[in-house]
Amino acid sequence: MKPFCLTTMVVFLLFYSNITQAQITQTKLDQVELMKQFTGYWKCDIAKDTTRFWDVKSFGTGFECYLKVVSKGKVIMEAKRLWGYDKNIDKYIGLEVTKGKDMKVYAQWFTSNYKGEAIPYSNISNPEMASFKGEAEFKSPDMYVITTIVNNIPVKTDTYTRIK
Amino acid sequence: MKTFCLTIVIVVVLLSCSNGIQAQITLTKLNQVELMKQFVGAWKSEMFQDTIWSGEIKSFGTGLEGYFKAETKGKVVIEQKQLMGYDKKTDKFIETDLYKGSGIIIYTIWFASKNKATELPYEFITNPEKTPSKWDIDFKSADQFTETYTQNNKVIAVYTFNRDKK
Repeated sequence: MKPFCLTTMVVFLLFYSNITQAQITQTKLDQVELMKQFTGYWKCDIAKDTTRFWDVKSFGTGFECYLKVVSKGKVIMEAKRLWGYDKNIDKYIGLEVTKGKDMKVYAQWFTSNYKGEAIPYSNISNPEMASFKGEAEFKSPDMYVITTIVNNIPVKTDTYTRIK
Repeated sequence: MKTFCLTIVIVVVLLSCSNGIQAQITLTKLNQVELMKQFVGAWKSEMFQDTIWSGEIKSFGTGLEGYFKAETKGKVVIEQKQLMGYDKKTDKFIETDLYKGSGIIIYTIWFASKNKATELPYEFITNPEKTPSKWDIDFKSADQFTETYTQNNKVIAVYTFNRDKK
């Protein structure tokens, strides 16, 4: 009787393990596909007469981005970003170079079909320790919201709408 | 009196030495942002037989952006975009290389002298001596540099880049 029980248990465990594996496979997000939601030309009104424009173009599985802030018709800030997929961590890595500022390296990824987050790359092994975090949420294919969180406190929310 | 004089002499000598050393450090500290500008322009290298690696690097703020492609018998086989930014904390540049058809790689690059730079995987930025692979770049002139690729202390390849005046 004992060997029978043991065999039954092993079969059950194998079956259960397969179900769990299938669930993991089903819920694993396709980061490359999801990131494509950012492709396009976006704008965000950040103050009166001041708008941030954000141009994101595909390059392979990555993206090249150009960002500018225009105030009263004058460009007051410019930045470039290069985002690429790192299969080892199943996340995107982005380098940002802003004119007149130091560079930044980020890691970013989607946590659901419409929500993603970004943290400094230096916090990749312990994301919960990141003092800075950005959370993105796509409200529609033509609009997303970025919430900036500093020391676990949301400090600002920016709404981006698609121009094209 | 003797003790007083000796103390003054020691203090003056030490201060003078200290200032001298400080001045030397200041003098020898390299301006990484300026030195990296040597890469600005169009470049070409015959990497392998029938394969030409060519592209251009442009300035963007204190950083650099680049596009390179490899062509074999006139057909584009590799395309790459680069973005490099200065990290003042480490006094080095961080470089991201994005390849079409593959992912992204992060490197760190810095000049150790006016003409020589080293590039290695970003994860070894704090312990460069432990890197298994690195690129040594040597500007032979304003229009030519070599890249020597080393793996486990063994030279794997040397590429020569010439300024592409088109």
